[in-house]
Amino acid sequence: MTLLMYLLMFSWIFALVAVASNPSPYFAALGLVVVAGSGCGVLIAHGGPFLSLVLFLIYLGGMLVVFAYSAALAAEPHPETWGSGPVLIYAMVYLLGVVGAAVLVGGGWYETSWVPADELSEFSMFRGDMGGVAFMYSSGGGMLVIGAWVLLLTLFVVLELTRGLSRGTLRAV
Amino acid sequence: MSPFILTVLLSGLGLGTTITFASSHWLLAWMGLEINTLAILPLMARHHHPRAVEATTKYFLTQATAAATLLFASTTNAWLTGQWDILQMTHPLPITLITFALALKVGLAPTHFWLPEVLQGLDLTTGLLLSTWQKLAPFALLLQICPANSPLLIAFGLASTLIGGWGGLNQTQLRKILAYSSIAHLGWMILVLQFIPSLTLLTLLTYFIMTFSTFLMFKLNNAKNINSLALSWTKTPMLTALTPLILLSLGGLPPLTGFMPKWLILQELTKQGLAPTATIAALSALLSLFFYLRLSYAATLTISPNNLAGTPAWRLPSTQATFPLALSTMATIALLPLTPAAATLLSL
Repeated sequence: MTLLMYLLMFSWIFALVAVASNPSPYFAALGLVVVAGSGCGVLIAHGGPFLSLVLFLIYLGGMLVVFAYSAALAAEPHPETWGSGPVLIYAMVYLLGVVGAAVLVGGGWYETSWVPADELSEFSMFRGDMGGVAFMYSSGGGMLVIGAWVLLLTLFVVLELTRGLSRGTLRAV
Repeated sequence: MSPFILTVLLSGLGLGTTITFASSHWLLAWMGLEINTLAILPLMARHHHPRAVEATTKYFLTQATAAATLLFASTTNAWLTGQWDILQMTHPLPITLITFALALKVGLAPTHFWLPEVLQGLDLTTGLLLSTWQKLAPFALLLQICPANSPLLIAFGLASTLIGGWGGLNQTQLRKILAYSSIAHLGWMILVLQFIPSLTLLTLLTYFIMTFSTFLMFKLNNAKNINSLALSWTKTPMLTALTPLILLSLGGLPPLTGFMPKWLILQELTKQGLAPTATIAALSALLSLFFYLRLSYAATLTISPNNLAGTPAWRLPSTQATFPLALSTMATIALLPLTPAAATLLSL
């Protein structure tokens, strides 16, 4: 289990470096997949399987897929991968930063664990991550409505900003 | 822009500020700020002009950075103190980080660099919206977090008044002048935040009234730079007679309304034993006063029987409603005697 945790956390950090070193969007998205996947593994080990499931389904399966399709529309013949010049330099510098941070903070136990479950009165149980979502649908109903309205607002904003094809806002630049 | 989408966006602006005002949880406050940022983006880019799009992009990037910093500070606070309440912040690190984030959101120096360029790319109405409405929500948060680190806020305040004054000296474009004027006024607001927060609110509201008049006056005269301001007497002579009073009120000259906040702030700073700070702030107001005076000169002291500054425009009937401008002009000029009432009513 310790080995698994080590693997997941190391891959998380290295994939973050891979994303931050500014390669072409295809490779950055690949780095994001590894980040999200290993992050989900760490979440599961710390008591949040529902959160991890939602992350996989919505973030990777929804948002990243849409991003990948959009990036595919802007295909280029020679995308910058981690072997090419400036990206490699960025990656090296960030790795150096990671090693430096590890030297600085390494060796201590900084881990806290979330409460996986709470025992409530009369045999009812409150699961840490799932309970939060349940709250949003009961006492947090106002927040849910605001969240839904804001999503609709975002849709209108994006539609308004990208309206007009070649006569519109973004193309004029 | 279609009236339906305009309604949705303006109600989004209202919703965002309302949510931030009504929130005691940092997440909800952050949500309100993000809704405001999101809703104003199409309003800024609605003229589909490259300069407007550039301004929109710059605005979005800075506001997103500020909101991300705010979220980071809130989660740090939640980690360090175990709770998300806005009024219960005790740890200095999140408080300082939030002050920086809100300073970037609002345009205080030294995080002010985006404001002149963004304001220059917008039309006057959207610029007014940016200068007034978008400042309400961050200030609601600033007033609640009770920042106690004196040197940081004084530094922000003095830097803003000085940079607002100096930066505006070299400008001929009116929207950039108004941007630097905004930075200077924000500096005054921050100076007194840790002593009497209600004076911050008073300064904010007075600034709203004054800048509302200024923006609408420029809009009525269709003036975007000093040269076109010099021709405003041919279009609206009555308003041009009041223009110097509006501008000098922005500059903080007694007996106009704009003197009220500066007076009370200088008094409070002196009472707190910060006389050098008060002196520097008062002297930096002189810098701003110079460019307001230059605008007043261009508008009123170059008129007939001097040589004509340019070809006067056709005096066609204007479609702009003038009642709001009339109201705010009177408020900008004549509200100084209400100082005791204003200071008492706004006590937080």
